[in-house]
Amino acid sequence: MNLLPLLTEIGFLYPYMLWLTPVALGALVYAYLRRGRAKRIVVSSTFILQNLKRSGFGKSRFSPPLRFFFELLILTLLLLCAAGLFRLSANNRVALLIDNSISMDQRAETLSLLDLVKVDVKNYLESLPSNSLITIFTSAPALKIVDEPALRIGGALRAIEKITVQYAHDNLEQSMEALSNQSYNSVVVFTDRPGKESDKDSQNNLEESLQKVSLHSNVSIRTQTPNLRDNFAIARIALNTVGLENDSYTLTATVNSYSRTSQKLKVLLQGATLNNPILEKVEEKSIELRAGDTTQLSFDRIPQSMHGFKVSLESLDRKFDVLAADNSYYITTESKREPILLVSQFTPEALGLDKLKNFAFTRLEPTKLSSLTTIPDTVIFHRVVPEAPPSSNTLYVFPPSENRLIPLASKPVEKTAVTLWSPTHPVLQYLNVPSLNLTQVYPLALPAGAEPLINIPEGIAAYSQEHQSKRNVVLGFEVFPFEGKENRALSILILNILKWLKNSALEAGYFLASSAAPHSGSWDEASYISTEEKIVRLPSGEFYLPMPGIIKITSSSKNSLAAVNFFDGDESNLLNPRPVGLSAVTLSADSAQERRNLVAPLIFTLLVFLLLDMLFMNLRGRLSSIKLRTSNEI
Amino acid sequence: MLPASFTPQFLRQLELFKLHARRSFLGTREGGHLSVKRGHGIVFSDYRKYEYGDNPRHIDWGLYARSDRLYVKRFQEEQDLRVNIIIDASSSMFIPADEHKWRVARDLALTISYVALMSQDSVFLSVPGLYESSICHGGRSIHTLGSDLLKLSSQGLSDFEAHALRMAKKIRFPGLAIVISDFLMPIPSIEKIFGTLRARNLDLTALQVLGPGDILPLENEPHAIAVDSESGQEIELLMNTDTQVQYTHLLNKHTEKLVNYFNSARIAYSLVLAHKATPEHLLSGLSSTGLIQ
Repeated sequence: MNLLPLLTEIGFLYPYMLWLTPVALGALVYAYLRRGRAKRIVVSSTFILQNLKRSGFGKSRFSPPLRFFFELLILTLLLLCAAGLFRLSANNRVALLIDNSISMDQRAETLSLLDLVKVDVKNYLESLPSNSLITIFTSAPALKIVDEPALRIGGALRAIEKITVQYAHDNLEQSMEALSNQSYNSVVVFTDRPGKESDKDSQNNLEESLQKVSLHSNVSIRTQTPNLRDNFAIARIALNTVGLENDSYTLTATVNSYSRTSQKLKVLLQGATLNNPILEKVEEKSIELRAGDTTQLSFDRIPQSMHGFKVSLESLDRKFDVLAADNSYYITTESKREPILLVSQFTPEALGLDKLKNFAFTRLEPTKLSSLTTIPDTVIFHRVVPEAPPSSNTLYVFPPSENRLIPLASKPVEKTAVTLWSPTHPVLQYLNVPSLNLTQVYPLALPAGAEPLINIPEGIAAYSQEHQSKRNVVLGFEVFPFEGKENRALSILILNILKWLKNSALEAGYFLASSAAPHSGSWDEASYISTEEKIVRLPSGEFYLPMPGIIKITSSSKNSLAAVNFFDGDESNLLNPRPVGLSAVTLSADSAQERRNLVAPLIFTLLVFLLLDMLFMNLRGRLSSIKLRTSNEI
Repeated sequence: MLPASFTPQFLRQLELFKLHARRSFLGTREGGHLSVKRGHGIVFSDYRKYEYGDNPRHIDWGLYARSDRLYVKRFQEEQDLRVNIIIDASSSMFIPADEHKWRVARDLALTISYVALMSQDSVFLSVPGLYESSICHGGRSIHTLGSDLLKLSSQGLSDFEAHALRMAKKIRFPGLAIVISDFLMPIPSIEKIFGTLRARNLDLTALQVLGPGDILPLENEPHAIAVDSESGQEIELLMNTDTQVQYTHLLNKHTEKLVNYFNSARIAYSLVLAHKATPEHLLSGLSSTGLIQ
């Protein structure tokens, strides 16, 4: 029997413990020398015995009984346990990293790319040796183990059936980095992304670390359907209140083409109300999108009775839009109300701001300004100016004459006219500036870097500033209360200012698909209105939103609608997928073999021996006593 | 009181014996041994000139006839013999207890004492470090000696040499000296004891008593730690066959040296084996030394 391979597979976690061996062995021998059968016997004289010993006779020799070897075996087992004996396992450790991002949902007919990848994975698994231990990972939305951490081939074949597409980015680079320096013989990545050219070259160099990491791009899909990579997607949608009537919405949708050809598309707008949360057709449009182009569609005069909207597109030739998951987008009116802090001695209602439904105003009295600990993103200082400029987007309305932050150029004027205004500034968009009836104006001193908006004969009536991504607008005149169509010019001005400060139209916020809705622990109930998909409540109390759609939320007996979306340009761009680099993965030197700690079986064996020893000693004692009794009886 | 082995038959047997000294010693009273003292006796010694007052019966008329001078005969007087018996009572004589070395030594001493006392000799018996008798005369004294010896037991005495030397220096009157011991000690120590006794003008006899434990120690314990009964010294030994043979050889060598010394020192010697110490054996041992006849 060739023991050399066995010896090379053995190792010790704490080899320095083996230094105890001579000490332990010496102690055992000494114990036996002392224990032995040496009996103290008093003799008349050791005079002759001394001479005997001096002549070299009678020296005790170590002649161990059988029990010595048994105890030596137990001692050896103890030392091996203490030294942490392990055996390097011959298991073939394989990690499979499956890309289950949204792009893997691209379909030719009925089968998705992920379905075909599963077939590829199965073929790969069946090609592995029988001693393989497989760990299956999915990369989206984060690296996760499927089923058990170490599966045999049969278990792995069953486990891959559990993999589903996630509305998430592939997260491949981060996943591969996480797998670095782990004890795997090989890491195989299954994705639709190609490998980098530099990696292909280095594979020819047969570098060991790269050899162990292979990339399986599903080429078979491409060969089956050469046009399979064409795709169209809705990148974003935005909902605006229109003009002054504030009684309808305009919805704009951005559509991207990731196709090689121009295609005709049908874009459908559906809407639902809170009371009747069923999506119904609102409007449909047809567009033609050139290859690689982006276009914006608008749906006008959408009744404000609707609270949730879905925009979906459909290619007239389905084979040019292989990924359907990015063809829909959702938005609701209540998904997001922009918070704005109003620092004023007047309430938002008094200033008419409650009419602006898309904003959530919180008021702070000017006397309590010093108690403000967190500055919100947007602040309106109405007839008050702080000591120091806040780090937020700020609107100053009719600042007081005595303030150090916003100096005035001259004394306030009454009934003045606009002489000049900025023609291109977004704040003045759609505004008939001369129609502004400025009854009382504080001419403002224009600070460095500021852009004048409205000039009057006496100076600057309004200016704007942009500094370090923060925007300020200063109005030397009163614009409140917001009266809507009653005072169109001022109302448009207010809306434009708020829009410019917020740097967006009302792009209502949405929850991200394939994630837990933040702060949803306070919800009582949540369900999709756009699909039959169930929303699962996590142990943390939050709701997990598996896919895009419109959800109906019940919280404190109040219902609302919220949108769930996912869009990633990289995932939708099937034409030009980003190459994935394999150099991120380096396997550790000891990854080739797994250590199988033998301490547990050693301890078990040791306990068995000790038990046998106890039984043997007990039996020996009983036999001795029987023998003694028998001799006495005789 | 005498030990049980001193049966009336044995005692009658002993009465037939008489101690024998290899030379004449001055006695203290009339006895059965020729003394160096000249006087009235049976054994003719020599002549001396007649002096006024001499008993005319002692005149040698034949010599007168031949020499025409008056000479009287002188005779050796028969006096008693002082018998000094020294018994070793160190711990080695009591170990092992079942070998009865002390008992044998005691019986030897009492045997010699009885023979001496019945022959009108005087006996002084000592157990150095433990016991000293008075000078005993007459057969009845044996009971006193027997009672005294029976009361003695091992006191864990060690260093027999020192005790024996002290005892030897106390002996004032010449006569016989019999030392009874196992003599398992270095030869120089033995020489010292007997040298001191010899200086007291004593006729020396050595009686060695050995038991089976001295001849073959640790027989049933092949691996043992032997502890000296007197010094407490410990020696760990493995007594296999070779070791036993070597031990016997060393014991014989010691005995040989002992015998050589005694021979050269004109000390009578006899070995008594404790496990064979029947009264007959004792007598034969004593007889072999010429001590009793």
